[in-house]
Amino acid sequence: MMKSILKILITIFLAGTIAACDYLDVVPDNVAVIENAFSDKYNAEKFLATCYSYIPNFGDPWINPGLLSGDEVWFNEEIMDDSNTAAMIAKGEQNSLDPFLNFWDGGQRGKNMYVGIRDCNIFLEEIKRVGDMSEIEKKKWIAEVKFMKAYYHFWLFKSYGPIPIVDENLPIYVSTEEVKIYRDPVDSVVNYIVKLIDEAIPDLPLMLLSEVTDLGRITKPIATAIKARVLATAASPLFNGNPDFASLTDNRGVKLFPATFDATKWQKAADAALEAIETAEMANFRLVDSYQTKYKHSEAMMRELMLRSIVTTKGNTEVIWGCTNFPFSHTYQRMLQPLLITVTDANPVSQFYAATLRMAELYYSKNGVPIEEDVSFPYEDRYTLRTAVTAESDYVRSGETTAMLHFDRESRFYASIAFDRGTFVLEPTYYYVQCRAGEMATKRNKGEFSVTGYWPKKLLSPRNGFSGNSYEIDYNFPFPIIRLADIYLLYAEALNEVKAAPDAEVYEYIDKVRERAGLQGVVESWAAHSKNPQKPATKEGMRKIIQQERMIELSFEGQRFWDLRRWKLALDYMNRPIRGWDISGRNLNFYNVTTVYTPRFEFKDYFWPIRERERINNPNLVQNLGW
Amino acid sequence: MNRGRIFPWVQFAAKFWVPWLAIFLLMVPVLQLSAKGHSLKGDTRAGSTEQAVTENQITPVAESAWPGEVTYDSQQPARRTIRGKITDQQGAPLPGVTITILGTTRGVITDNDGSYSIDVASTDRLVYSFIGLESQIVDVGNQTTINVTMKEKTEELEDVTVVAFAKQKKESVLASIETVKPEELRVPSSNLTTALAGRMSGIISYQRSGEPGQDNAEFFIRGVTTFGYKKDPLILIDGIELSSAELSRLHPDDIAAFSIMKDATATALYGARGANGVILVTTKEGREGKAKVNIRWESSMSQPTKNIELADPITYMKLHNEAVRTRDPLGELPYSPTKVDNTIAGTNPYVYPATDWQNLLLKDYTMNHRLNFNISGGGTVARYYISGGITQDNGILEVPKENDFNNNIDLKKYVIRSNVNINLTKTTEVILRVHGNFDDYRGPIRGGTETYQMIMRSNPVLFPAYYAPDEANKYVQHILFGNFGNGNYINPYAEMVKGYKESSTSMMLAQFELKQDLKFITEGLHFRLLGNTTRDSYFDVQRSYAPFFYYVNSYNNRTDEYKLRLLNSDSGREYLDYLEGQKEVASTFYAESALDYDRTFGEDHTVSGLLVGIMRQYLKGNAGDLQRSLPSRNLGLSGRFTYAYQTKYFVEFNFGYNGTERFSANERFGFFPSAGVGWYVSKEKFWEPLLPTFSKLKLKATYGLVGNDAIGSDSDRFFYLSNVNLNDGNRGFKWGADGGYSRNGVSISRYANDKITWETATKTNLGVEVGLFDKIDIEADFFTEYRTNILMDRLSFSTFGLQAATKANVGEASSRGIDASIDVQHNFNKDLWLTARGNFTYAKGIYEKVEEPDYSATPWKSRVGQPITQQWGYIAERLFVDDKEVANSPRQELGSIVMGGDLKYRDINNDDRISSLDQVPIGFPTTPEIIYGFGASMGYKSVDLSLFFQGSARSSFWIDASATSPFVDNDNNYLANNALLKAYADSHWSEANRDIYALWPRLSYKWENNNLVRNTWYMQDGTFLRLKSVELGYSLPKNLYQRFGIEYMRLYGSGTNLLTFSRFKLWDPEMGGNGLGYPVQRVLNIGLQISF
Repeated sequence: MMKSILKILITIFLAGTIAACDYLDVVPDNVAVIENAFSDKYNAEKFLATCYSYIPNFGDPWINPGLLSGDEVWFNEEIMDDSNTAAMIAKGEQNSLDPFLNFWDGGQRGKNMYVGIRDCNIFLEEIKRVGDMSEIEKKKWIAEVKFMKAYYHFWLFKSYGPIPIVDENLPIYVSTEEVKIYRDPVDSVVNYIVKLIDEAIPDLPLMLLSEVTDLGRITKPIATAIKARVLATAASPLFNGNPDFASLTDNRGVKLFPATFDATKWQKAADAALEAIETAEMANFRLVDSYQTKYKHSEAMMRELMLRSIVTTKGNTEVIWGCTNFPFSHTYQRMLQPLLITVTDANPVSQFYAATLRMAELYYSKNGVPIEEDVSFPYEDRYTLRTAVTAESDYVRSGETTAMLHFDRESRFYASIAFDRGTFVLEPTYYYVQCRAGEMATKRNKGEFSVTGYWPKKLLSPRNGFSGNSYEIDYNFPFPIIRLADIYLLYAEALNEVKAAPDAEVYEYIDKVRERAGLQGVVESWAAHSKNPQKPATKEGMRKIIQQERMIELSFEGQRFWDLRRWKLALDYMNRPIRGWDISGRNLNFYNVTTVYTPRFEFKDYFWPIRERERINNPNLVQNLGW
Repeated sequence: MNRGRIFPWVQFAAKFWVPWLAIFLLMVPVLQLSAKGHSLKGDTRAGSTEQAVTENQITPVAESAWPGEVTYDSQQPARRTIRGKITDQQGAPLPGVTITILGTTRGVITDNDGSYSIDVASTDRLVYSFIGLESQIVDVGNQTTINVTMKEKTEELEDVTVVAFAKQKKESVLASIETVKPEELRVPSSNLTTALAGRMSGIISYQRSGEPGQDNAEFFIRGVTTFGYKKDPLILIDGIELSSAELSRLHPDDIAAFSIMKDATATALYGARGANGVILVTTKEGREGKAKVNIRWESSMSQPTKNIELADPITYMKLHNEAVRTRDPLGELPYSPTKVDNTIAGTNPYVYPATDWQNLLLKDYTMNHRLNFNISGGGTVARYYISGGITQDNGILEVPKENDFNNNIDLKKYVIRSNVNINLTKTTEVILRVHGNFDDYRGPIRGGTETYQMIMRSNPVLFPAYYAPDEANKYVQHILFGNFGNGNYINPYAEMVKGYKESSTSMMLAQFELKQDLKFITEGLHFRLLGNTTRDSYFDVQRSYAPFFYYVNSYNNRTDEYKLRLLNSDSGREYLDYLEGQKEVASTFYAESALDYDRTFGEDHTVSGLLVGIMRQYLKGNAGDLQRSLPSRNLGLSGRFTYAYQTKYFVEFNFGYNGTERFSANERFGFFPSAGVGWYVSKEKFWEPLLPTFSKLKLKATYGLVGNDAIGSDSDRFFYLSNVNLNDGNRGFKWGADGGYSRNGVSISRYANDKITWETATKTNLGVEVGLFDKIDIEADFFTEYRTNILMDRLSFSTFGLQAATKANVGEASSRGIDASIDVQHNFNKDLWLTARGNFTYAKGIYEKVEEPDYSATPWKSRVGQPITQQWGYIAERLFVDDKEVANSPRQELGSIVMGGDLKYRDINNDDRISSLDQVPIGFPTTPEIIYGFGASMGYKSVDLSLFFQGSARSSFWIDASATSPFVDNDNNYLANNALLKAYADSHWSEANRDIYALWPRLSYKWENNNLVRNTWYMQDGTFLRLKSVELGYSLPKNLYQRFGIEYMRLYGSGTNLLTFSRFKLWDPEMGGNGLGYPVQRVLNIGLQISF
């Protein structure tokens, strides 16, 4: 017996020793590897989605610096805590230790754009493996990915200025020294981005086959429009011969900013804008100029509703590129909506997305000129009060009292800003806003109130509505990234810079935008109503006019933040106090202008700081000035 | 050493020759066996005759494994009659003892009262023997009465030491192995790991939390010498790898031997698994003899060693208001003056609440109970040891009267163990061990620690725990819980009351071991086979309702009536809902076979050899993804060869040759050799004159390699494979007007690297053992260790665009230290005895090589040469006097706006700004470098007393500034306001009192990153000394219980964590920075021990 036991045991022992090699090989075949991503078209499309996925969430004010990091909107302190990284930038608390909205390293709510660029490069290297796709389709996808790669470079460029270009991927196990790359000078970066877009354009479709499935896919109008924006940015004062940043030099001695102003850059921008306009119009894009409804409204109200529908309505003709991956959903729309009905329970709207007093003052008077220039507008008395008459009830509830500032303004003011006692149409109901202390649209729960007494109305479709205790929205609209009016104004801006003095060509496209808003042309308006009637005749005067027009037309769409920077005006604007009405004031005590916050903006804030850790790992990356 | 040149050759040799050598060695016995043919037949009984008492036997008689029969012959001519009485150690008479005359088969047996009589000649020698007791031989001489007290067989463990896969004679052990008596580990706690600190040299240990079930201490052998993820030792219980959770459940009464293995010689056999040291526990086995029963019952009172002191609600309100206004002059005050005034006046406690959540929800103390028993015994064929235990640990949560459920933590643990040894033949022994651990938990849904934290995050004045119903809610059935805002503030009362969680943990272990003596092949050869499986399972389930929250909508102060508003009509729910929680299952299989050889040739030459093969598999049922679901496996062949000359000179060679599934085929196996030499100096002739003083001196030295395959992380194993998620929703994109066309994306969480391999430790140990006056034993070891191939993340570059860090075996670390212990034993007289024991461990591990940026310009940033758990931080000089000073100081842009009263940091590199380059190594490492313990036990007649102190030194910790920042919201699930520590309320910078050395900087209602970054302001000295345990016992007089058949009864009182000496006063220093967690407990205990 013992003998047989022993034999068995020894056999087991030996078997264990001999079977050693196989025993440890526990990994079965067919474990997923990156090559599987390009095995067929279905999987390659997932990788295409991956390449798209680094597009920032434009509609998220916590992530899009254009929305909350500037001076257009302000959240109350109860919402603006540290996790609100975009707001931290607005306040002037940006830092280099762990920068807010860090799209370079992917931190503090920023996506990592260099990971996105690497994915684009992987796609471009590997797409040829896919068998079940036609060459034409491959070319189209390649063009889309090239555009995304260009766009991610552009996003970094406008945030950081000169950036390292990553045209090809480094192998994964490469020596540390080879990874320590340098920032490329501004002009090289711009040329690279434009080159990529130019490579992409021929293979991109002019129009989509179906908006239902393809909206958001890159087309020729999108590529040309972004190219125009890239070139206009490069031609703008921040990048074009900016003496403040001319000294930025890396450790090889390479100057990263062009030292001198180059006027041809504006010419390139103008050409690109014209190309973009023509391409967009060929694809049937046009300014929205009407609003479809079955309800009867006055002409003035129809214009307001039309203006409110430009970005909020499905199938509109003006938005060239919107962020389909991250629509402006109910979550966000309820932040902009003042409470207009009596509710018995929890608050259906959170209403803390407040517009600043500065924005309320920005829009033109009804005569189409700035309120401080309008000879007929009581600018000095704008904070005094008067009572609305019946004829004004499209705008202000008749018989109610509000500030003079809220009367006699252009349609875009009423379409864009909700104010105390202002009419607020959610079709077919005409509500009015009541937001003096203790009234309906004031704080009910922590953080759920406007800190200024204003709301951006523009991003709320007239078709939204309250029902019982809830608030429902018409459409989760893709947040606009670029639209036709934007390129019109870019074209006007570039032409104005190119020409010695503005002429009809310069006025043409800005006037198209004004006409849609129900205003006369620049020349006529200024001649008839401005204290400074010759303003449109000079290059400098026209520059100011175009800038204000852009800030009005594109308000609350995330453009002003970047515009103020490229115009080098942020230092001026972003150090002014953020103001609003006194929301703790009852009744008419509400109408005291109150400072909400005084942000800080220094010269260094024109650009993001490179995160310190990245610079310590790679000392070849010179830090932006001031950080 | 030059590993680069030597190592590949060694590996080559190992890979090709070791398995063949093993096969060869195993073939020899097989061949011999076949050659011997039938010779073994009938041997089974033959062995018994050898047991007859022979002249060769010496005192005491060796244990007989297979005793023979004794003939009782009363017909011999009477020469002289000897009478006597046989008793056991407790003085009880022993019936049935066999008394024989040496060299004959003649004998008698004692009767019921233990007395006997036998006729002898005066030259005879009498042998007294009894199963389970030490046999004795007495010369008759002239005596007529011989009373004998029979002693229990001394445990073998006294002179042998448990070593890897075997036992060795203690005198021949060269490895650094520390063995502790199981009694030393007995503390009034159901967690064995809390007893380790300071009890034995070589262990660095600390306990951070006192929550039942979560209170495992962390422990490291000789400190930490790696910065990989697996830093803690391999734990083997009866040879099986188990977790520290299983170790924590072991009952000291069940432990036969507890050893820790520290150096290369001790651990090399564990090859790739032993680099962090090994803890080896052997459980008791049954011994021959009648059934012996031990019962131990303990009841203990447990309370926090220190309670956190919070500021009162009024101060809280005032300072919260101050916090807002001092940061933001325009800020809205959280509490109106009316509210403050009314709260002070105590107007209406529901409308103006001032809730002491601590008092409401925490008890002063809690009671815990433990019951353990074991029964052992057996005959010559089979022996058994069975034991069982029940412990009940309760939390310190108060159970409110209004509550539907008892929600205090109730953790019951059940343990059963059965060890059965059977002698199949006289050379074959089979051991069957079955062991089960079962936990039943019932308690608050978010557990004790989280409940405790919620209490520390609750606003005391925003709302009361619940409201008395107002007019409108008179007939409402549910409790009207208080809340604020949308009803999403933390109400810890509601959280605790709303439901409960039940969980069950089971661990079943079954083990089969076969031992075969192969002396029929050659003397001293043994074979052993062990198979084991362990099954783990866990599940939990939660049942809860959703509390309805109310808030005072209006209050009429004339009538003192309030109206409530319901805050969450849609989310509240009166009835219970149910949530299935986690379910985890896992299985482990382990097999081990060993061949060992041990023989002394002549007087002088002792040779031994051991070859062990092991295989192990661990498989998890719900690992979460494909790669993690694959089994973890190990395979190994290990060996030991020793030679001793005259028990004076010793040499030893060990190796482990191990494989793991984690690495690519080329890197899969590793070879880990070690060697040692020893010299028993005091056995030399020349030492004899010194013996009365220096009764023992032994010198030993070992050197070798040990590996660690647990690198990366538990869930990140297959470094040679990339890990790609081809269907990642987070990387997808939506197209289409309504986002209707969406595709998931692709992400990469690991890049393949087939070069990744073992972490390797090179260990050197120099030890000395000294005995003084035969009373004092001193052992000291000096050790160094050099760890190479530590897996590290490569330096990351964002512009590289990688989605996961790439890793490589680039790190190196070293450590050195001393561990020493001293034992003193002295009997003053037969009633008074004293033992004292002390030990000391110093271990310092430092970085030798790390992947880090070029810090040549700022050398203080480099980790090289710094301790492994060293912290870097800013040097806080003091608080800023005012905003002006801030403006004139180096810029501090650490993520918040700096004002007067915030921390002012030193600009180390003089670049006029405070950045991460100004972080310097601050304080001591977080793992203590010194752990020591000392204590004494003494007894006088039936009273015994023992005291034990334990201390820790050379560590730092930081008050967690984020967790203690008053007023901020520190909760992930709810809106919350951190509590205000009284210490902060008493000492903080304020505009009125600009104390630039205050404990807490300028108050704030939000995070102030400037003050939260690691800095010296919150640094604390982790040094402490505590009276870890005291036990006073009294053995009750036998006459009280002897008649009930009870042999022994002892009553004792004990306590742990009774006194703590530390400079830090806010909370228990052992908890480190985690002061707002579930507190470490002080325990007062009474116990009763009964044997029969």
